[in-house]
Amino acid sequence: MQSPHQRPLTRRALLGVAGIGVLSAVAGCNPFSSSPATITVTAPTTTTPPPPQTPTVLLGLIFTTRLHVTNLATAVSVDKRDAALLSMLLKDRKAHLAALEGEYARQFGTAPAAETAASPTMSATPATSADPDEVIGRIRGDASTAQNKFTDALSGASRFQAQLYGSIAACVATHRMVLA
Amino acid sequence: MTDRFAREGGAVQTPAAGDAPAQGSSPIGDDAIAALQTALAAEHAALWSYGLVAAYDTDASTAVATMITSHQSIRDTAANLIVQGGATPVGPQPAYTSPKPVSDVASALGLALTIESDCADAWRAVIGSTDESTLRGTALSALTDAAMRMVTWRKAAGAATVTVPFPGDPQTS
Repeated sequence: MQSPHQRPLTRRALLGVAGIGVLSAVAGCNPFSSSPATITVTAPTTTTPPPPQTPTVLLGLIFTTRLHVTNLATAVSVDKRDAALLSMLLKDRKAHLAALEGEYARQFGTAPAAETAASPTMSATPATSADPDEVIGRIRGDASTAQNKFTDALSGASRFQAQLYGSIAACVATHRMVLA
Repeated sequence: MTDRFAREGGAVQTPAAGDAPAQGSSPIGDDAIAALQTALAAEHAALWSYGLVAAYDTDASTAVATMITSHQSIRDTAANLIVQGGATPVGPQPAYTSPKPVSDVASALGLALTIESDCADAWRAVIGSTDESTLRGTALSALTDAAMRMVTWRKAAGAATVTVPFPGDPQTS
């Protein structure tokens, strides 16, 4: 909608503005700047968008986290001595899982697969032993695995995902610390 | 932590969901320089503040000394990276204002937690400011160190929950 105080742009005025822009681009100067003109030669920038990230990395992280959540939930039920500590860690890992699944849904428009299919070795192995030291050792091993995986995933991730993976890697590092 | 320690530095842009994935290594860009300046300013503030913490929590002097060494190391790393990126590193302020008065051990522990939380936030922002994997690794190392120091201080304060799911995320940490 046009204001009654605005005059319509004429073609001549439009061409004049465009002409200033073209001349500025050719001369390498800003007509509104008093600084001397400098011409900088730069490599041409590519306008090709980067290839879309495959879901493999994120899916692998989700499967790993699901497995660790399962293992932690089992550990909480069998290790009464450390149940409070393990419950605290379980809460963190559940938050990680929710964030990763949310990120997957945002990026790929669908919920991640329910089954773990990334690796035949990634099957849930419930901690059947009630020996607290064994339980803690297994959970510490999971935390170490998670720290490595999220650290490795950092290099190829988008900036947004890199922050998420970095925070999770730092969190599981603190899990290793409190389990030591 | 809701209280943020006074610090200076460039504005840090938070990456939006859906940003393009990293495409190999690239020089440090303006976003990363700004984020590094903020991290450096947080490290300067941390080093100054630990003097205050040590004054009130004499039992933690050994831990504080270790943490100061760690902060000095990452401060120097941040300053070197900024210089390599062609910018001038921000310097320390003569003094800093703590968000709450420090008058006893409990408030000293609270200050320690605040400064580590600030450092964690700043280094997490560095991770999200660059596609360069080496810089991301450096920032992750600093974020992890800050997260572990936060656990130490929460334990010392007798907190029931000593870990947080997303260290450095201002929304949740």
